[in-house]
Amino acid sequence: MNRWSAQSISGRLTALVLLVSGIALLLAYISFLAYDFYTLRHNLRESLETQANIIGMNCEAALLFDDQSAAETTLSALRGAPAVLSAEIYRVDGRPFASYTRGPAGYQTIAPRLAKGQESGFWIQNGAVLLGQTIRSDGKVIGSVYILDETGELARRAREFGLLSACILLVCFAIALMATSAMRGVIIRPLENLAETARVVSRQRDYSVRAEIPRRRDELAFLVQSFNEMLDEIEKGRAVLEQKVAERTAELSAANRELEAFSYTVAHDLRGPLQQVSNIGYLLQSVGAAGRPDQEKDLLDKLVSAINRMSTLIENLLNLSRASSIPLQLKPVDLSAMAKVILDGLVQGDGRQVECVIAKDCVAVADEGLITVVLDNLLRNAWKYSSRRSRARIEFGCRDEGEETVFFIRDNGAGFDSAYAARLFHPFQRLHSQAEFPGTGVGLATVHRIVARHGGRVWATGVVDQGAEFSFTLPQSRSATNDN
Amino acid sequence: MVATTWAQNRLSEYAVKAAYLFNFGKFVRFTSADTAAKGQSFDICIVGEDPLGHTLDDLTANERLDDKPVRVVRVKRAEEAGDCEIAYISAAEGTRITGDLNALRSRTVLTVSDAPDFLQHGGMIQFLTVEKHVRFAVNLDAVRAAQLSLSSELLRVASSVKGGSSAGVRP
Repeated sequence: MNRWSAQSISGRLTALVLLVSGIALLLAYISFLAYDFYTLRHNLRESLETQANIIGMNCEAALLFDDQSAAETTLSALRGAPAVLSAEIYRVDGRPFASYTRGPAGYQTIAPRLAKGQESGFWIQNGAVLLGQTIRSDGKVIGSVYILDETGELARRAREFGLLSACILLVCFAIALMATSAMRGVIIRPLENLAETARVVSRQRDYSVRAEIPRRRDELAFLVQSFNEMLDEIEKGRAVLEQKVAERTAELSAANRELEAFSYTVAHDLRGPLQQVSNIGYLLQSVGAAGRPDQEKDLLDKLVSAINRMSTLIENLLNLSRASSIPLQLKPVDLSAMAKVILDGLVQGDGRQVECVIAKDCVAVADEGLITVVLDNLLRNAWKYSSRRSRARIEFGCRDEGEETVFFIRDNGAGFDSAYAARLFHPFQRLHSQAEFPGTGVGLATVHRIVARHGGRVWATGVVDQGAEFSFTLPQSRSATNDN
Repeated sequence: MVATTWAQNRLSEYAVKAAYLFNFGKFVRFTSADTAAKGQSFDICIVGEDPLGHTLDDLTANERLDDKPVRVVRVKRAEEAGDCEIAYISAAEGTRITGDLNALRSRTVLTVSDAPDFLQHGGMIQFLTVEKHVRFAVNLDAVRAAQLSLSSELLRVASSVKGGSSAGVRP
């Protein structure tokens, strides 16, 4: 950057200082000159009047006794005043009486121009000043004297003032330069530093650079500090943003992997019953050909069973999908009543004797359809895994923990190893074999997804052969249950 | 300088002399005692024959000299002019001039005449005619002897000054 270019602040400051001092000097020059001209003119007139008076007094006798040579002798004393070009004395009736001239070069004709009764006059003619003065004797006018004086003094003063002003202007210029260079340290350098930093930031997108804070605690230091703080904020914001992006990317790739695993499992699990259906079909063909109806009936039963399993699996997968896709319609739901309806259904279904304990007034803000799926899955699990107990017991309840309400379903069934608790909620992850407890491995995954969509948490604790407890929370306030 | 004969062209020689006579009064100074002793008017006396006529009267009418009104007095004899400020003795007095001057010698009177050798006889100012101009010569010794003083300005325009210092003597 050019230090003195008109664009830079220092250049403009210098120009401003020079302009101001130049104008001030010009005004001072003009006013001094005007004042000097006035006083000089005044002084000149006074001095010429004095000379004219002296000449007049010395020529009184010469005029009275008509002695022209005496008057010319008196006038010749003006040789001592080199500025006087010429002088003349006139008689009272206007006829010339005596004259003096410095030399032919400076001679200018003078005509008496004092009006009658006018004591003295001052005129400017052809670059010279003319003074006229009456000569009196005992109060009576006996003649007049005129002195023509060159105005060289005035021009000389103007020249000298001009020269002096030029010198002062030069000094001002030097002072302005020094002042600006002094200002560089205080104002310009921090500004340039700041501008350079800003340029680096905007060009290279490097938010780690910082401008140097000036030592003086002034507005500039504050500005630079604020700029640095702004950079801090931007840098911090970008770091948070990058971290979030990394987190989201990780989440996304995890979800992607999960989806792949899910697809694989779905395909794998659907292929099992399908293979069975295919095999049974093949057997039915050969049995039908052999004409054995008893075996046919058995094979058909197995076929229906395999198809039912497939149907259940597909139903559960649909539930899981729906849990992810349909919009939530939140409202208060009485979970206690809902649990009782579900358990009553199960009791009527297979007629087992199960001790059911349902706490009253467990109310949640939730989507009724989806929360039904959650309760249905969890209660059905409890029902299923307690099926080998002679005195099976299933309990539904809720308790307040801090700001949230925890709902739980407890049973005294097969239980599980708490070490694997986290795996329970992954799709197709099962802790028991199909032979022990049949299942698709999709139910708890569906539960997890629904609770997560409500903004709540779900977890499980259990002990092998002693039972399990599934708990979940649903945020009470609507704002915390936004669909996201 | 070319001699202008304006005065002579317009006025007679005596008219010029009358004006000079009056003008002398502007350059002569009396002691304060004399001024008081000489009365309430500034008298210009004409001794004996009067060649000036009425011109001096016309010229001095309503004029003041030495802060007194000017009066023109004509006397027969010089003795009568003892209290005058200026005494003009015409050339017509002839040989009587010596006596006239003796009569006025002890008085503070400025004596003026156009008689030749007036200064040699102890007169103070004598009219001359130089190149048709009326001029005058001064005997400064006589002026001082009468305890009078003349302004140096007057001496400067005099054709010649006899006696005293060289001051005011024109080349």
